[in-house]
Amino acid sequence: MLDHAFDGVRVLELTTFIAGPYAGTLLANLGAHVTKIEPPTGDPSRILIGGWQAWNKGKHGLALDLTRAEGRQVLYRMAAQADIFLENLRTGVLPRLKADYDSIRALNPRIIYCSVSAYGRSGPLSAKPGFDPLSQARSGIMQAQGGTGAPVFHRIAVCDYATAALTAWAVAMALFHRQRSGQGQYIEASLLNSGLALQAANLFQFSGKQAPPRVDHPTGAPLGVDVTYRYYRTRDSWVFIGVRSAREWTSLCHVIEREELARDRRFNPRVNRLQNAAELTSILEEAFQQRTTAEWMEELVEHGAPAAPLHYSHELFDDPQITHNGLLARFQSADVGGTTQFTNPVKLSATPGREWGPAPGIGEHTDQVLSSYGFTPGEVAELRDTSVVQ
Amino acid sequence: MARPLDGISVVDLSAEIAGPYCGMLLADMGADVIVVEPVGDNPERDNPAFHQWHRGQRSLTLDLERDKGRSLLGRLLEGADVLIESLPPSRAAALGLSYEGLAARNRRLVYGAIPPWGDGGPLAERPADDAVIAAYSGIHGDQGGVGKPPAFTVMPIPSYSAAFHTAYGICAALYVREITGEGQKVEVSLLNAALSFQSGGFLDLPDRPTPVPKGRWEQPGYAPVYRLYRCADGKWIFAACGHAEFWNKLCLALGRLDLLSDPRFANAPWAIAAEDDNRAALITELTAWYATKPSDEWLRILEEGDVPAGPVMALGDMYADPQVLHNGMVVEIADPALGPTQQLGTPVHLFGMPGGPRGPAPRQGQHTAEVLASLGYTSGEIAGLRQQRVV
Repeated sequence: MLDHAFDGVRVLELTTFIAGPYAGTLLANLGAHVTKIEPPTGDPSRILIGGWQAWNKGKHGLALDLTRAEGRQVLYRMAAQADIFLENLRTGVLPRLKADYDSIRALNPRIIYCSVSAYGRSGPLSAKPGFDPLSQARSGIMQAQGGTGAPVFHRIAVCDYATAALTAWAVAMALFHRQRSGQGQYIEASLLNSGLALQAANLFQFSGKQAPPRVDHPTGAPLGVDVTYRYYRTRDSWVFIGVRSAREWTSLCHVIEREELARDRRFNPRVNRLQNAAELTSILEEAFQQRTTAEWMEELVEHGAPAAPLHYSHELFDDPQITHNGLLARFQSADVGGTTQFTNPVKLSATPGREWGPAPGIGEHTDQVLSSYGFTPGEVAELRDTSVVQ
Repeated sequence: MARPLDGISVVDLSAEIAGPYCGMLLADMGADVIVVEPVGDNPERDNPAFHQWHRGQRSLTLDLERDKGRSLLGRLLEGADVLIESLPPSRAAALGLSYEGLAARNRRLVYGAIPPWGDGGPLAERPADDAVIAAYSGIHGDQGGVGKPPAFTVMPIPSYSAAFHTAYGICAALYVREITGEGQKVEVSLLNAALSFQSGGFLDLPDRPTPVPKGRWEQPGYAPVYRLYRCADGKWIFAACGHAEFWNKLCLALGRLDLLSDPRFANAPWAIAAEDDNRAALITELTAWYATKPSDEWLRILEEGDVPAGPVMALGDMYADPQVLHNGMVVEIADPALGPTQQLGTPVHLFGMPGGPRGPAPRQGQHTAEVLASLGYTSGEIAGLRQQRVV
């Protein structure tokens, strides 16, 4: 029996920034024992303090000097026993460390080796360094958001997060396959591929395809898709209305106390609402100005019209639904003290995940990790004395 | 060639984007996905993307509003490996879909649920789709910035995230089942998925500013050297100097060693973001500098200097992009209803068993008789069910 889905699964990580690390955290959430291997100076992305915590939650920290042959020997000895090897360093780094797939497979034929890159490990762009926004830019995401105006950078590192989730999927699938066949394998994921996966519906192309509709604010930022599926300004803020069906439209008319609009030929059926969008927009803009977002939400919810208040993420720490979903946990971190942060989004009923703890300090678990990989206390002491580990 | 999910049968009852996209990912990797459609008009087919989400799958029509339809579904699920649904909890219950009930007849079933909000809680029954969840979870607010209009995101972020996370959860459960012999319920609400994509900003640290500092947010990027700039030809490029090494390389490549030694810009790239005046000063310097050369020249210079930078491209450019094609991310499929189509490839690559689409989407009900026959229904019974419009 398993208490957690990935009980006993051991992951070694040579990762930085988001895409590789957050994949490791998703695996740790479901119970994998993840060792984050950092140089003695720490992962350079530690400068992103808050993000670093979120993307490395639940891991064990090992500080290891891979510039030295003794350090690489430690890596090989661990890789020979691990289940998953996860890396997202620049193309060429792992082969130089003799820790590419072929080298690791020679030590451990069952290894599932996952290589995460910006553009792919082969092909014309593979040697280029990359970060999330370069894939947002290159895959068309920024231009799509900008519409006819300037391209728009997404504040959320969408390509990174998508890559992390897709990588975790690929690893789980490879574990399933290994359980059935005994065979490990090599996996690649990339930010560029994920940028396209994030535009799957728009990428899908066929003859006669229509451009997706949108409604823009005068500043150019999109407010939504059409006249009843967009944001409206209220007396104190904004509210998003997600009305599509005839029933929802009738509810909306009732909520704004304009029942006659539900029978008005100019605005019924839906195709007429879209046809006469300018007229209807003025009516709705004026109507929504009359009350606050909270007042509108009360009415909209009561009458079953899909809607949401405008929120900022920092307002959500006490949100009752997020609390119900168990998405927040409090941690005491050696680096940053007490924090509240996001935890496991994937709920498994029989083998739920576990909370290992917050992101590790540099070398916080060095002794523990080395011991779990069979290093004797004498060996660990020598590695410490010679500064191969910290 | 073998695929990792060969032999896994999936019943897809889901609607909209997240569930169908998850089903597509599983089907590409070898799963036999049966999409359950209504007997009459299927509004899901009004969205052309239906033909992509359900490529290489089988279609069964079934009236789930009737007892006979629901009992037939029960029989189908007795032999299935995976179920995907995207209903609010009350609606799932009304169709007789509870994990406990189904597991009593099939201990091996992996039940994948993608409700909008969760399996319960105060909002569980509130009507919601992708955009409502994106609004609620702060995606649009954070993107627009505090005190500014919200920025609706044209990508359906919660749904796409849910598709990826659910595929992960389902495969984790399939792995567990190989060891324990038992299935389980996997739940990824759209809300959970939306927040997972925000996890880096979604945390409360002592003595630190809130994740969206008021009035500081600038749309083109995060920092002066992690930002969009417009070049002399009017085209935009993004230079992403994520740490000090690349900030140094940037100044070298731009021929602006003066910036490197300027005390105002010490601690670039990230720490400088805290100082408004210096931040604005550096943006002004760089805006003027990038405006002096066309984008392709800057990109060449930055590449030679090993600075992470790239062009802003359009989605339409992707169909002929050499790296995109090298990665196998655009595939051509002849769809019986839409004609020749270009579709997304499989975004992760498992070497040795790469997977990929296995054909176009089915016609509505194309495999009804075949699926029913495999459940042991005789051709007479199938004809009867058809006549009663249960299938």
